[in-house]
Amino acid sequence: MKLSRIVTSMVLLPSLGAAAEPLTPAAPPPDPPFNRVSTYEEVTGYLEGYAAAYPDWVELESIGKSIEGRDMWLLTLNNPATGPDLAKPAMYVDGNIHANEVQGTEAVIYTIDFLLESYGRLDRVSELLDRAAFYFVPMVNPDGRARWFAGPSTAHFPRTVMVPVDDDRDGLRDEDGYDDLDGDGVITLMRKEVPLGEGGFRLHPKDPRILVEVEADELGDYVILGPEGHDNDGDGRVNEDAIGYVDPNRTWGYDWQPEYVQNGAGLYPLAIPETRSIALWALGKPNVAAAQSFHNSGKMILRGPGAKSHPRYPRVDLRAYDLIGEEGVRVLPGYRYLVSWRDLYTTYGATDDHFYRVHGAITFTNELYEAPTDLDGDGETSDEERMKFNDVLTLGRQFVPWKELDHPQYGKIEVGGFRQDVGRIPEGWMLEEETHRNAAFVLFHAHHLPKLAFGEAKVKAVGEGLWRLEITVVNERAIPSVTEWARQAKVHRVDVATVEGARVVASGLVDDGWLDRVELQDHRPERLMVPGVDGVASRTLFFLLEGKGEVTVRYDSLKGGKLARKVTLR
Amino acid sequence: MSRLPGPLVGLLVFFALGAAVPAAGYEGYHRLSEVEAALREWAGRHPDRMTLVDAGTSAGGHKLWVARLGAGAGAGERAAVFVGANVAGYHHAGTEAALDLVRTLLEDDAAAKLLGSVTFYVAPVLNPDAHDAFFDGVRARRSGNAMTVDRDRDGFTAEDGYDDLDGDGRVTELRIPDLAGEWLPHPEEPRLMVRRDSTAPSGGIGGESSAKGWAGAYRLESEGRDDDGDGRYNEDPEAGIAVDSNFPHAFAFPDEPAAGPWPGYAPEARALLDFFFARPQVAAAVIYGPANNLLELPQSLGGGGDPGTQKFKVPPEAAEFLGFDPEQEYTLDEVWEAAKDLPFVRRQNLTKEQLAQFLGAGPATRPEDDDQKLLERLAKAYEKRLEDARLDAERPVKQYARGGLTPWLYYQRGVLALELDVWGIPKPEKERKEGDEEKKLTVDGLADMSAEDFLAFSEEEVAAFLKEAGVPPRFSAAMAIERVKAGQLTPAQMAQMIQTGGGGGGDDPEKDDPRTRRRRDVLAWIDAHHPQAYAPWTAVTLAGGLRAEAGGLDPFAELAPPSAADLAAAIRVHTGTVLDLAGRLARVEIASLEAEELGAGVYRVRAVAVNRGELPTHTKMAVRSRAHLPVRLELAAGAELVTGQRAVTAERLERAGALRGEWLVQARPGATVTVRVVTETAGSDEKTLTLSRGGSR
Repeated sequence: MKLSRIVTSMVLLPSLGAAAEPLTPAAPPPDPPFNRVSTYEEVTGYLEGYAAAYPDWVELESIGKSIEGRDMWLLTLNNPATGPDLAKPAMYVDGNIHANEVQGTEAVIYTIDFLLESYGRLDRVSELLDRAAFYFVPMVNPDGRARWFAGPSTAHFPRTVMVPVDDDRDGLRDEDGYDDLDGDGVITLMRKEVPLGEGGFRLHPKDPRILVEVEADELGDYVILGPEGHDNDGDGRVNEDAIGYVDPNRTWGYDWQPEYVQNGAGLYPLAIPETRSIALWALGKPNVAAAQSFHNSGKMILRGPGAKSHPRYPRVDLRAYDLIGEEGVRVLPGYRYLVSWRDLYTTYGATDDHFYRVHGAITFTNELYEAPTDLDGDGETSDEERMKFNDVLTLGRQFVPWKELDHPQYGKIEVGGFRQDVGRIPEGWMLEEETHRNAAFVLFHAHHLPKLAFGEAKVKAVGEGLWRLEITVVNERAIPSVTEWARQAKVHRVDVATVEGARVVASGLVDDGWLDRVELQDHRPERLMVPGVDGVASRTLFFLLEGKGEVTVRYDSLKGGKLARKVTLR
Repeated sequence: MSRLPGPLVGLLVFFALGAAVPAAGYEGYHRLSEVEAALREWAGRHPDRMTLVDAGTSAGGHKLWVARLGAGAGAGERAAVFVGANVAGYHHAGTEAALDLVRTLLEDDAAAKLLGSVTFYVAPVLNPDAHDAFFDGVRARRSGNAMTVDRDRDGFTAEDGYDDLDGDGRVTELRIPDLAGEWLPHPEEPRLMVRRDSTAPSGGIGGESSAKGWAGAYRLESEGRDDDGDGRYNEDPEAGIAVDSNFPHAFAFPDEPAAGPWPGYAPEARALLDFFFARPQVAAAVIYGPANNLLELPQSLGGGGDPGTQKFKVPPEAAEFLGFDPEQEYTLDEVWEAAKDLPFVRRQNLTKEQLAQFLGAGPATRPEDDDQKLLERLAKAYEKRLEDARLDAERPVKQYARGGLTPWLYYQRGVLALELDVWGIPKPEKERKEGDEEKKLTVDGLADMSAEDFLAFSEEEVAAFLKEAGVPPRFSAAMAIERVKAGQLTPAQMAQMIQTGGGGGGDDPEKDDPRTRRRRDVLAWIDAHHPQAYAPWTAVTLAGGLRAEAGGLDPFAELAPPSAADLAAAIRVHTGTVLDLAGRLARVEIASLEAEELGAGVYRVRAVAVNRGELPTHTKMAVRSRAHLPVRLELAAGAELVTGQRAVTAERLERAGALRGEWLVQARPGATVTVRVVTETAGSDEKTLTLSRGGSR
């Protein structure tokens, strides 16, 4: 049924009552910096600060312990005056599942901060917080974050959770990882000058910090020996068994596949406490209708399916995905809206597939940031441009100059290169914009959480004490109250409509009200099972009632909230 | 989860109280507390050979006990066999067989000798929450643990379970007269309900068939009421996650709600996963459960692109890069041949398996060829044992299901894993073939044929048979062979297709399909051996005065004979099969160690490690899945190497397979060098040599 018909005939919504006022903090709220990334301890402090400042609105709980025993923080943000969280549509937001992808946490913290600060000041935020709840896990991989900050680390390492794995299958675990050869707290690269003809590289003629691959008719005198490290276990290989490797974003439950199908899967689905804590917690939150996971890098808004073999996304759900994803492309400059398996690579057991398939929540994975180092705008970044960015814009902060030292296996080598926070994380002066834009994307997504309201109610007498009631439920927003996937795959119960105060003789769904086409429910008419209300659409319910006077129609949607409307049979 | 509405609770309480009329039937089986007591007693009596391992706790708070049997201090490090029973929840014959295995290992001298070389882990009850449903209350099959699942997703949990309508203490079937019903009494055996299609002339409802009168049609349900009034019967019984559906290979989400939201969600399944990862020594496993992988070899569970044995499409980006047609299908071997010398493959040192992963080819769906051959060998020995014990080796059996423990053990853990059902109702004597009589290619023969028997026929023979059976030529012999080979079609399914498709015998409305024939055989056996296991149709009244009848086979009739004592011969065969398997396990040893002085205190040390067992050290699937560490032959610390590495490895040693190591060592005469071979699944060995001038052996 078309929405337009109802919009023109009815007042849609009850008023929200008193205008929202800005929140008054019970204690000074935290003031996290958004021009740098913060450590696990600092982030813990911010979260505790929000809980202390807004005790009625913010609940901070530890939903489990990481492998090394750190708390898995989950922050619930809910306006208590408009009902408990479980009675409202909700959005789940997480970050930093990969140890090195740290600024996802800042995007989560920014979202929390912005919501609390803006309630009562910006109508759009007030409207959202009056009707929806939020769940935040800013640090999915607390040990990984702690380890990446403490170093030595690189832009890409560590990515894992801290579970020891025998990567080289020699019977020992994590026995040959990176070594900070020059003790500067950063793992950079090793290079070595070799007799002419033995290397694949030569020094850049104008900038000896840069190595250039030799042309087909050139001899080289440099080799690149990989990240700093030596052969710790004497097996003739360097850095082949570093910490981990279990990729926590391959450990989720939906269509998990083992190590031989994809590296980093771990022993079995949700075998690690980090993702298992979240998955078990989420089973108790059927109201989650939207989810977002922050990663880096590459400026992407990803959606599933993670693998070609997974079922395609049904049409009704794609409408919501595309609306939100395409808006994201407009508000996040340079970002592309992509399908994981088709446009990136195959993943099994990823967060977005799990939340969509197991919970029926519309879920995106954002890959934050891409270094703006293509200075001449030709579509590619050269080493020279990268060095110019370092020299001119960061005044040399990013690059650690080559330094000579003796290596136990390679002899005299040089160690140097870019710092760990270069390449995947914005410089401080760019971080706040990146986090704000991504927070805005989350709030746009949340804006489209299902928003249900009763529309027109039509009552008609059909006999002695027998009434025909038709009542419409409208979903104003883009996310269906039951995703088409959830209803096809039966992953959770659909919406339920009941009537109190009269006997329900028959019930059903109105297919076409003008032509009186009603699909009756064969059994149990007093509990009308409604396959949800699609995004920006309506659904008309039919009841044949025996009784008189005032009755209450209730609509109970796991993800769309609960409605009640009094109707008089006359 | 929401609560039940008040009236429904009342109903359930009423039936729970009214139900307890014990059904005749099963004697001598061990309930959970008896199994636990027996294990404790054995462990107390034989502390030198048996310890009880607490592998975890079920959802209902029961311990998952695993008996570890092995002699001496090294028992935890030796190659091991795991035997687990009743993970299904309703397979009590397996529990009896597991108990017999423990008893035999402790009390039989010949068997006990094995305990010095192989360690056994025996778990008689792996789904303790479900086990006692066989003994207590109204008898119904239970596969779920004590968690709660809203199986019909209506917002209520366990609100529509079985009800013992006829008060005989068990759940059988319910037939409700229904003009639109799909079921009719069998014309010759009216106790049996058959789908109307299976006895009707082709065409089903309408036309001439109506004249035969469908007025006698029924709707068939399991015994119980529609407690929640949703039009469905017993669709949400009180039973949680089905433990034997909660393992990670071919997991059945979202198709089967009782499988759970993800693999390893059930505490029993997770405890077992952890148990096996903590015990990489387990080389082989026998799971006693409803399936039998030796009477019928394992078939594909579907899903995945399986590059191991099947053709697959190369993704477009990669196809261009590798020079393949993205629309064509290739085997992994073909792709590997084209790719293995590419610079990027060599630079990354990619293996064939990693390439498959890179191409997004998905998990394995069929046993690797070498492993299949191994199963065939084991199957021959098993069938011979059954025949020697005068037991039926031809009875129809089940395949294991998606998300089961057995397929996980094989496909993901790389363990040589078998599921065996211990016992089943035999075929009537007259229908059994003589031991060495050739299997015949007829519709009937096909119905009972294993895939490998079928594949033994030539394409000409198959073509002749298909023609004879009236199969349309578009289904060619080549197609039939290919589909059976790929696991897409079983011979039994082919037989059914031929019958329903109008070929061989299908035109005869009175002719039973293989499944119906089997059900009649079962009923005949029950009449002769276990008459209490059939409940005659008994009139009952449902809500609203609806008349119906309850009756049919006892839920355990096909899973357990009336007395556990009747299992004796079958159990002996199965205990023998496990002991035989244990005796064949791979066992590595250092077969030779020698040194030759090359001059100036430099020695060339050579060692050869050999697999002395009959089975390979690793299944092919273990190699593919990298589930176990490779065989490792290494020079122990102490000796100084002139050059090279201390260890050499091999992914697998077949029977009598050898791994050679050679080291250049700098040492004084009189010094010693030690070489050891280390495996997870085939034990370890170590030898030491004293170096002397010239050379040493």
